[in-house]
Amino acid sequence: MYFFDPHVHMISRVTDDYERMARMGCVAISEPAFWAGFDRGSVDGFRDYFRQLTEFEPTRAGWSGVQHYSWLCINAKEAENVELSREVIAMIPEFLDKPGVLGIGEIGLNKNTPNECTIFREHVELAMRTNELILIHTPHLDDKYKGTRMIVDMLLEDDRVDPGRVLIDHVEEHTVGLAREEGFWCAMTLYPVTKCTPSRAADIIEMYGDDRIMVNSAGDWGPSNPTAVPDFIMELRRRGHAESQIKKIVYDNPIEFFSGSERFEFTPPDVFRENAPAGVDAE
Amino acid sequence: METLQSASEVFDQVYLDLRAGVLVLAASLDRIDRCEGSERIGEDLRRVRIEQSLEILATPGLNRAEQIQVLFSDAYTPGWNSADSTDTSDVPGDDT
Repeated sequence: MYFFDPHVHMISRVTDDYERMARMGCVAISEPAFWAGFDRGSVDGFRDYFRQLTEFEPTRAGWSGVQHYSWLCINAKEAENVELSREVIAMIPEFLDKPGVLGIGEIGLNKNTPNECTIFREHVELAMRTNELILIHTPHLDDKYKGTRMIVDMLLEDDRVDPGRVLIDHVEEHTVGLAREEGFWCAMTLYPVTKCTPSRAADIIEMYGDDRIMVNSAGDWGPSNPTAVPDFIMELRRRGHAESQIKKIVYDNPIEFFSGSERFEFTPPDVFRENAPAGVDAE
Repeated sequence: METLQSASEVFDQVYLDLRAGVLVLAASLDRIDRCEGSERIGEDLRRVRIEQSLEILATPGLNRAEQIQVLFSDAYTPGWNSADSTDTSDVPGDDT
């Protein structure tokens, strides 16, 4: 089955991961800007990061026949540096006309601090001003419930925000309802220990339905599995769900949401692979 | 997208995982209690939450996972972002 991983940090993964994902049916991914494991020291550090996301990663993904899309922001961890965050937000429009950029993300909260709220609102302001989709990171563990509610509160403060153009990510059993009740899209992250397992994600689908929801691996530089979406597919198959219903979650839904971006140009995989460029050696 | 399997089918599939999970839980608690200072762990909020979660597990229901998630969550104050809120812990502002 073809699938679309709507949230995976391929910049942290090797080319072999693209290859393995492609072999398991991955035809496209979207890559939100995130924390690199250290706080970057300047706006130019982000400018180079955004160049890598919008220029080199689509090329590297293409070697495996995978279509690559991206999201831009300064993440919640680095939002504690308000001055740098504002410089980055001011610089983001330089990249908003690049092919494959889907919007602003993954913005959100990490420790639910005042500075994080300030920068979250300023990212939303940018998205409203430039008519961009929004991809939202919700906090981990004990901070998640409170942080998700705060994020929803802040989004509802702004009448310009259309919930159908916002994806709230990393939802779990206690936050999926918060996102869906207000009409937002949501996603579950299949991640070791701290987020959802494939079976819990399948439980949530069975309880809440398959509209406005998707699953992702959020594969990154930490312990994570970029081929987690196929594990979810197998879990639903084991439970007897129809292929068409599984496809809706792992392929149709991401495409439907991302189609809200005018820069989302998706080529059916068979056509894209016919025209995929050959890879090159890294050294 | 409703559950398609019967309860007995699901139980057959998850039984060994449940058994293994309960044993991991039991062995982990035993390990803590064998160690010096284990009596102080009993006052740790995290240990208290573990005990409370076991009570939720032992109670019939359809949303035990959600209840346990909420148990392990920080408190949320409705209206935290309103102009007349007295909750200052999360009031947005520029701290620079």
